[in-house]
Amino acid sequence: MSAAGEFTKGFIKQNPVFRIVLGLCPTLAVTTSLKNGIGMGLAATFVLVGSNVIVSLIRKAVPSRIRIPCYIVVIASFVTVVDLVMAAYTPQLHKNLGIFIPLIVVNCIILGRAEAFASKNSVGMSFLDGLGMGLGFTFALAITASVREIIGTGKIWDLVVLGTKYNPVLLAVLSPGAFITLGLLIGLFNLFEVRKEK
Amino acid sequence: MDVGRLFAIAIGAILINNFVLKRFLGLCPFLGVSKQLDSALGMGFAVIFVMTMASIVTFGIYHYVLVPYHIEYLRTIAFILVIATLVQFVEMVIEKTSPGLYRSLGIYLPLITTNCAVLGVAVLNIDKTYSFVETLVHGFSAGIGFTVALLLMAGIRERLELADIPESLRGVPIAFIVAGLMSIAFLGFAGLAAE
Amino acid sequence: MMAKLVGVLAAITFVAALGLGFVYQKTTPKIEAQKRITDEVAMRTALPQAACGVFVKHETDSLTYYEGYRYPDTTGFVGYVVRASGRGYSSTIETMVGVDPSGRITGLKITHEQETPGLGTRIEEVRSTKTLLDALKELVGKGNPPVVAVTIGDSTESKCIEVIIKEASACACLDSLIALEDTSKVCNIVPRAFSLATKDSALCLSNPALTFEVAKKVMQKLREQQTPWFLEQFIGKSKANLLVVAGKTDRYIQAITGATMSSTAVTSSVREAITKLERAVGGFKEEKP
Repeated sequence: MSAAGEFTKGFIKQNPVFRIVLGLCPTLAVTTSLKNGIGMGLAATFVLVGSNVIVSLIRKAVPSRIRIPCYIVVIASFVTVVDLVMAAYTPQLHKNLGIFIPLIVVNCIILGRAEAFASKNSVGMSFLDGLGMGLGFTFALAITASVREIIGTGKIWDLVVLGTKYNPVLLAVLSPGAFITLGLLIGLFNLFEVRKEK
Repeated sequence: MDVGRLFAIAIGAILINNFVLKRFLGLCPFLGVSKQLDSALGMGFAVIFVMTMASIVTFGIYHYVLVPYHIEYLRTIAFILVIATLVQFVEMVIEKTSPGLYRSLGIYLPLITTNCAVLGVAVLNIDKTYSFVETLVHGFSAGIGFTVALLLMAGIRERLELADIPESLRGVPIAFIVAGLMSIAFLGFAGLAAE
Repeated sequence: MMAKLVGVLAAITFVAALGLGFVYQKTTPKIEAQKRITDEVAMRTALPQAACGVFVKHETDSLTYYEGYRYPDTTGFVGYVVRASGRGYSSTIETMVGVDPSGRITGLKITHEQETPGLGTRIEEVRSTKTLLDALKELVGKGNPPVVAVTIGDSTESKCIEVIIKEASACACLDSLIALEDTSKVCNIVPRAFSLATKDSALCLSNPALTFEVAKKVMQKLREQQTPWFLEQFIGKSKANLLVVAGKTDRYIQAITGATMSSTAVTSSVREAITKLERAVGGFKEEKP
């Protein structure tokens, strides 16, 4: 696949959330507002790019029997860096994302890309793959968060969209709304795919 | 020891802030292993066991290694390594001592390393500054809460197999919508006890 | 074979730990500064009369509270600030409350809550009527011009002093800061004005730029923030009027629809804190009619 292909596949064709259905915990938990969704997406993107590059660099030095623990150490280091940097520079976002920052470690997307792509490809390609997948993940979070925020509060990015008379459907920002919104969005993506195949 | 508080923690972890339906932790196994009741039960027991063990071990690591040396910032990396090692170790022990149990739980154990509910419970124990006994109760009841959600889901999905569902919603999407409806039911427990 | 496996893993872990140690050292002062900003902003919001003054910590057996002064040299006593905490719907809500010498609430700020999004979290909701359309119009330059913010230049020391002076004059009372000329004096005044402990004076001397940063951010946040409508109701009320009722009222506190438990938690914890404070300071002054 071409370099451009590696980069763009994460957005629609192999979107980690909508198509591969990975990394669901943060997708549901932090998408109560667009701000949080994008913050989480970018944090995960940073970790994904960093870990992909390092894993690709050390892929020949690491014996295959201990590769998973090695990858986990690399990922956990990047996650800790993100955690510290966010606490220092964006304390409000850090507070809102809470426990889900350390949990980026166990986000299946990141270990999945390290194992399936970075451990077999060159540094440059791994970088593009990480960036594309990360931005695809951010894109998925942003869509889910927009839907939930608009329906649940009538606002987006704290700006009124549906007028002041709109009576918000609170359920959308509560936990059930997360499940139902994501279920319908994945269904929508499937619908497009089914149409295309026909 | 305040038994009332321990009870509140247990109820909180099982019903009010159910790990799957309210905290959104451990969703991958929740969707992956909830197709049949038998495997859901096996996975549930494995998670209860690992969560309890992980809570105990990470409590020790945090309070007796990380805090005394002021390296709390290495928490994430230390916890994930400890959990991975623990799972491996448990797998080895069960394999040696009880082949029957290994046959029923064995295949689920490797999956647990990447179950964010396990790391989640360890991190939450620290964030909430629980004492050792509280940590133990929280870890155990979080596992129970996970199992309860998993079993309920498996029961529903076995029946969903027979339902007539639009093609694009089959599989994961309908599972999510079912989980959403279950989550509405669990909202009713909120306010039972404050943590 | 085994030795090699362990060796590789150990090497990777060691390098990772080294790297993290480095990042940790770099970010720690920033993180601590953020904590101080949060506390300073909360205290100064609770007691706006002392926004540019100084707070003195008092500890009794049962209670920790702060006395607020209008000026950095601890003259002009304006009231107390005390922490309150109560159990809400799904979390413990922590608040900083300011009280004037006669026992009336001067302001309050929520420092911690994790209530239901969209319901309980409305205790911190600022009424906003700005629409997406307005924002887009502003973006293309056709709407009402936005409020001009003080631009902050590069972070060299001299710039920092300049900014502090600007911020201080915006706050319109830190006379001593406005008269400032050289860095050493900043280190005398800033830690005192911002009730930073002695340890922080040392920090200021070793890292003046960071201390300015703290002071500057506190000022900026104070000017930016608007009082959430729920909390605004508390201002000017005394302990006796802290009751939650449904429906609009001037006398008592109007509950947030659908979040009675969160509303009650804030109100009753504030009432409790004020009662404790009254006991600790030996009663409030009678108000002149």
